[in-house]
Amino acid sequence: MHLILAYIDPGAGSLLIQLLIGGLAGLAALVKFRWNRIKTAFSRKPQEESNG
Amino acid sequence: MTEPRNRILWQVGWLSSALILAAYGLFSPLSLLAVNAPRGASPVKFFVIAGGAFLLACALVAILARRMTLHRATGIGAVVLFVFFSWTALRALGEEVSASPVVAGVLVPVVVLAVLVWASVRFGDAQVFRVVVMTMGVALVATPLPSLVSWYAADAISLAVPELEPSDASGPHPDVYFVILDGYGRADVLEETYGYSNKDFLDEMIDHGFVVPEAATSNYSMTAASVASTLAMSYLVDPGVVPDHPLRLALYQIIRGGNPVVASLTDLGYQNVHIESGWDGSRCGPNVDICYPAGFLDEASWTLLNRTPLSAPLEQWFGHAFAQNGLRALDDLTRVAQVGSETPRFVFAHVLLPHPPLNVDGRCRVRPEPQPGGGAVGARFLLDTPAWEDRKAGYVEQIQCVNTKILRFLDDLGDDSVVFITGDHGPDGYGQVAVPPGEWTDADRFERFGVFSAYRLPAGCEQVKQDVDLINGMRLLVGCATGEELEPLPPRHLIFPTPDGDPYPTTEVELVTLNGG
Repeated sequence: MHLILAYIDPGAGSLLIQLLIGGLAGLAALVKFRWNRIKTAFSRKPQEESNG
Repeated sequence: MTEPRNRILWQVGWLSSALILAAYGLFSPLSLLAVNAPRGASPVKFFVIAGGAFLLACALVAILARRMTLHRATGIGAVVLFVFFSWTALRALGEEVSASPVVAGVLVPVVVLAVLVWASVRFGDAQVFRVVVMTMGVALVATPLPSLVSWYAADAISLAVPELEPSDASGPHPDVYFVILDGYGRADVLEETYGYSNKDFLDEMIDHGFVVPEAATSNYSMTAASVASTLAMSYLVDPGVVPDHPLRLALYQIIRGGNPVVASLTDLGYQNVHIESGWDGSRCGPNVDICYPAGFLDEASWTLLNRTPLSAPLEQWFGHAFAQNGLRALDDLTRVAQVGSETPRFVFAHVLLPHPPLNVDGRCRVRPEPQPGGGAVGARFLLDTPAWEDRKAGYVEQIQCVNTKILRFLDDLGDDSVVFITGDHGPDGYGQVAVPPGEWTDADRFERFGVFSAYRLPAGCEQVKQDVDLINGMRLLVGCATGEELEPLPPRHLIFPTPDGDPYPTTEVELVTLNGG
């Protein structure tokens, strides 16, 4: 059921979706920009054992 | 680095700053416009508000840029715009955390603003921050664009409306008033559904020379189709039609003055006087001679400003735009009657009362908050709750206010004026507009199509029937005014969908009385 306030729909639902999409886009940009750093952080090899 | 290159970089920097601010100033108005363009909303006031916010943000950035880098200043400007237009969304999130209006309505948005401003100051010079801010801005603006493009790119259509022969009816011609009281129910609807007797008001109408049909009906269940078809004096939307953007726009254009009623009366020398409702669907069109405008703060601009920190002061100091414009239109109607004119006038007035939200009490005082249960249409879920009784009481109070204003108007009206006052459809106390036609009960149809109508026609006109519908009522009036024979059309009643979700096909229904007659 869609609740309508008078003639104009305040569009609260669409605003939340818009903010969510904007946030996800920002997050995606951050991840892409920092991808190498993130990849390095997750693929860091354990230190080799010292000899002798 | 050379001087010209420095200047170019400086200009590029300010240009990119302006573009980012424009994105954050536009995202909210664009999303509201995308939802409401099909409801008749005009983009003009949205862009004025967005433009004002943008200029203020530019001024803020220019001041801050004297003390910090342009990147940081731009980040702060973007953050301020973002929080400004998302204020009530943040407040809604705050209400999930705390019931306190101070915490939810002030503290949460302020904290979010403070955190984002700190981030702008701390990281504003970092390229990654600028990329994130820019990407978010683009995504926010791009989200509503497909809906907007589909609306504005749709091919315009023209609906087939009757063209009347030029009339040679001789003058002098009386003023003709066509007044729509949005959602005003018929007397038996008010008694049956709301427990309210409107007899005193109807008796006063009769004393003023009106005929008030006991079984008057609207032809369509929604304003756009009902008012447009009445002004076109024909059924504009057939059963089975699923309204699309071009159809809705065509209906609005008819309401705004492009209709046979206006054409036939202006051929007789009438001035076209139009009192705006505050809803863009019935704003003044290009062929209006005298426009009584709604003013800047109409329902659309009010709804956008209601997303910002201005929401609370607007509600306290101005009240809901629907209510204020409804009262303003009624007062304008009285002013038109008082002013008079040597040239005959066709006066069209669309009044947004007693339609919800229920912000006006019985003495025409505007409430900051609507009556409990009276904030919306389509509120099927209110049935059998205490709010249902509050809602009914609130609707009755709006009826009482409208009655007072209408009687005031009639007291100032010339005795020879021709008047057609009507609801465009009945109330939706049962929330029936939010459900498909197949779910409408007998009570739903009885309420929604049962309209208050009152006619004061010149002597010698054919008598108004007790079960007259709006299209045939207008055919009777115009036929009498122009001297043209307009045969009555078979009365029909059609449920017309709202522009929300997946609209259903326009559906013809049979009307019944509540006794099944």
